[in-house]
Amino acid sequence: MNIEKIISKIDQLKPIPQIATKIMSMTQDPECGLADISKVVTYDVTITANILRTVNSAAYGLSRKIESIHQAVTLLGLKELVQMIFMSVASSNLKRACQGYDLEEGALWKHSAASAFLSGKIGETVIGVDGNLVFTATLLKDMGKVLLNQYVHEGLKEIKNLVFQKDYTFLDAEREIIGIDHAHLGGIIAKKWNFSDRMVNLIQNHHLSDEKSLCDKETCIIYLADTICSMMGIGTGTDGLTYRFTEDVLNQLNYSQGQIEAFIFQYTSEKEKINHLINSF
Amino acid sequence: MKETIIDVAEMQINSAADEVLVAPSLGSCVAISLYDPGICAGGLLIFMLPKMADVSFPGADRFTFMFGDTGIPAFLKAAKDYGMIKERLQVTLVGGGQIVGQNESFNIGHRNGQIAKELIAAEDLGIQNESLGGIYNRTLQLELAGGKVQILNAGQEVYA
Repeated sequence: MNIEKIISKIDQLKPIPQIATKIMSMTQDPECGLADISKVVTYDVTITANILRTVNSAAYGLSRKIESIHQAVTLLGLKELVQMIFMSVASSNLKRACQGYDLEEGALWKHSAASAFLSGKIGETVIGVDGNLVFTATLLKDMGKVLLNQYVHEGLKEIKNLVFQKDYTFLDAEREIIGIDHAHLGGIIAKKWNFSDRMVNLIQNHHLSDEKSLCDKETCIIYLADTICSMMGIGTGTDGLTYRFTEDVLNQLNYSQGQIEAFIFQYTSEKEKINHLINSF
Repeated sequence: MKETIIDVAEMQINSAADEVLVAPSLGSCVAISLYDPGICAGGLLIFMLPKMADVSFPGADRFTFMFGDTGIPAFLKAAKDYGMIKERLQVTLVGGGQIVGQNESFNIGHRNGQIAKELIAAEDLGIQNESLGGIYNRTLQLELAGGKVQILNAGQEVYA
């Protein structure tokens, strides 16, 4: 398989607008406040419209209508504002059906957004974690699947043979049959879209391809959120459970078994609100 | 035929002749389907975690069907209240999948399967179809017209 040919297809994706990467870097700048960020948001009509539509949707159940981005930002606060901006710019690519992974239209989007919310929840319990970064990297981590889908579809018989007969992980099988895996490709896409090196690294290693990333708490959080969502069966396809679980992730985050079950419980008890939010994009 | 998707931590019992109850894309969750051919009624439960007591989280008791130890007895009682007769019940257990490398304590899928089998056996119910464990995400479909059950492994062939 010609990897260059696959990479050249990145242009077929709807690119993440520069404004989103700008906002991400503003969130990491202590000099920038909520007012500065909301001013930048107003320059993008589509993002502004999406945010206003969502805050006025059933997900928020407000009694009065929010009519300006200023009102919306005051209501949401920085964390939820960043979440909405990235959901707004990522949804159209991730909503596509991916037959190669047996994902109907909307399934990958649901998995991506649900695991991002879970990542955010887990991130709140770990000291020193950048919640906006973790949420966004989790949301975008499977962008590589959208592009690799066609090649997975063509090589599915061989991939499944390796996974179900020879104990390969789906990621290893992608690499063996196609020459590149979806996590690596996701990193290349993020780089092309001018995301920070940190974001590129988180996306590229969300299945812990590089063992050194086990020492990185934010990578471990993304990996754990992805694993738990696959266990819960949220937007999962052929590859759902066909990865390896690495218990060192739990040690790295100082988690016990009971805390994992608590995360599953916590997510599920809030699923109606989260689903409303996911479906409003 | 009308497909009704059952969400995780929920259950439904019905007898509409043109309806199929679906438990989609099960990972470590377990779906239990019951069917009574005597009244052509069926039900589906999808629980996510084995025991409520294992989750030390306030408010857990508001989510009966999220847990096997509380959800299964409540589901069986709801089936009885609906008019299903225990001796006629056809039982199917599906799901409880796991990711390679999950040990006993983290293996929620395995423990979900265990508690489902234990509690169904404790009620002296037989199991007609069972597809538990492994690395498959599965989908279970129950046709209410005749009780036909289909189990689909993600990306695999239909085999039941």
